[in-house]
Amino acid sequence: MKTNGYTIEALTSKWEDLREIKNLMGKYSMSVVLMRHRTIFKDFWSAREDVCLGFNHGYYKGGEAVREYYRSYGDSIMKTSGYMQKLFPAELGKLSEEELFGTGRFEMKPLTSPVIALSGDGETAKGLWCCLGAESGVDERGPLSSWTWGYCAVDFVREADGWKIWHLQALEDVKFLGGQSWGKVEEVYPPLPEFAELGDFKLPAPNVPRTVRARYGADRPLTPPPRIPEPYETFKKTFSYGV
Amino acid sequence: MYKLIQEYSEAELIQLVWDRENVQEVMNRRVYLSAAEGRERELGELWVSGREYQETASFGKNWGYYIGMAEIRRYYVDKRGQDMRKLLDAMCTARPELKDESPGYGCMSLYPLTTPYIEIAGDGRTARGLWYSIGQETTGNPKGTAKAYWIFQRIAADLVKEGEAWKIWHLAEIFDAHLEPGEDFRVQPRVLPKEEQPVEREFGEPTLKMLTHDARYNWLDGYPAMPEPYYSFKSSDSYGPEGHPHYYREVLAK
Repeated sequence: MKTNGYTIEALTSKWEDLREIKNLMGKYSMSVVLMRHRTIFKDFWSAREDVCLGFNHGYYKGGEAVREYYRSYGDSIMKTSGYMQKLFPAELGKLSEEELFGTGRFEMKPLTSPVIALSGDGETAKGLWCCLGAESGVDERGPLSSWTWGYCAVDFVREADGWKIWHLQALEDVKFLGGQSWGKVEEVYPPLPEFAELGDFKLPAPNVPRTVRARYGADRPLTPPPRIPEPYETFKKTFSYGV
Repeated sequence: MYKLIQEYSEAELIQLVWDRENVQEVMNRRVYLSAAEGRERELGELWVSGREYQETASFGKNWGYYIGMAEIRRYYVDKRGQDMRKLLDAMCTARPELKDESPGYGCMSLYPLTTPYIEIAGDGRTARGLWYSIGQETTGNPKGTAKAYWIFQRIAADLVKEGEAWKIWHLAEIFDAHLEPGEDFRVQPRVLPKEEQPVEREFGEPTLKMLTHDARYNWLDGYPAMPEPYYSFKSSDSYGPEGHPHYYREVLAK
């Protein structure tokens, strides 16, 4: 951000906006680690109806769709944990639902290399991060771990209680089983009868289904990252990470 | 000599804060332009444009430095473009259905920056930073498969303020390891001949050939050094070739 022409107070205020946005995404990322999906929407997302959450296979558009995605994700975590309790009654049998929540699952999506643009009017901002992460869980194939490589692209809006997420794209180039190379064809593990119950649960489908980004394969054309934020005056004069 | 924090006025302090943010942003923008194979755009937008700086700009790796923007462009843009074109031509020969594809087909790379350590000069005119990158380079091949590598490296940079904008002046990407995912790290060869070492092969023939860092020995050679607080730029303390501890032995003493 160019600093000429701003007062000390204005530069300080803008830096505090930058810090708050970075902290917001830090809290979001840590909430994923802590599996707080049941409260992520309330804690970090805007109250606007035109919020939007995008993945490689489509968008959840609108408050209800985004809220339902996170709620369902929380349900999927509980389903896994409940199943682990059945598998390991000696270790987990006496745990309450709250104590049990998250057992069998681990997900980390740390964010690096931020490029953040604050709007000139101070009402919105945009940010782009790299995300090298990992996921571990249990599904119908049994326990599995995957590496993920991708990007997180976010529009933010200032509301009465601080900066909030407005549009968020969580896009992956790679989601690959640990112990394998994403340069090769992934060896897919077959379903196991003892874990078949976990195959029944599906997250809700995006209400705007489309290929937002294809994952990497040896037959994928060069695919640039999401568009890098550029300085802008008002949100109408820049591009959106929403749909 | 360097400036103590107590010596800064309020205006200078907030400028210092924003200088650090802007230096980081330049290096982060480079991450995304590099991933997009936007190297021409990167050199134009993020690297020095003033003549005195262009002549002394450098891009270093474990095997030496390209010195001057023309040399940097020769490696970073021209050679890369030629390598990508050659690869695509080989793919099209093997698979004619790819004839309408563009260079970069089947390729992917990303070198994110973590753990920033940035010092802004006391005179506010230059900056130096050191980052660690856990990255990956994935290259397609004519067989329709690809080779993927984890690339672990330190990225060090001197930046200079041209007008209001921070620009990259000296860059050193000093790699520690390249390892195939899904294969036992313990048995992958640590030393390869140049023609088989993909990172060294990619670096080509630099302006100044010298061993800047032996990846077998981690931090033993201490390069690149961690930034220290400083007042004004000296080339002997930089991440350019003159700042390498063996520069005099490798260049001036010969």
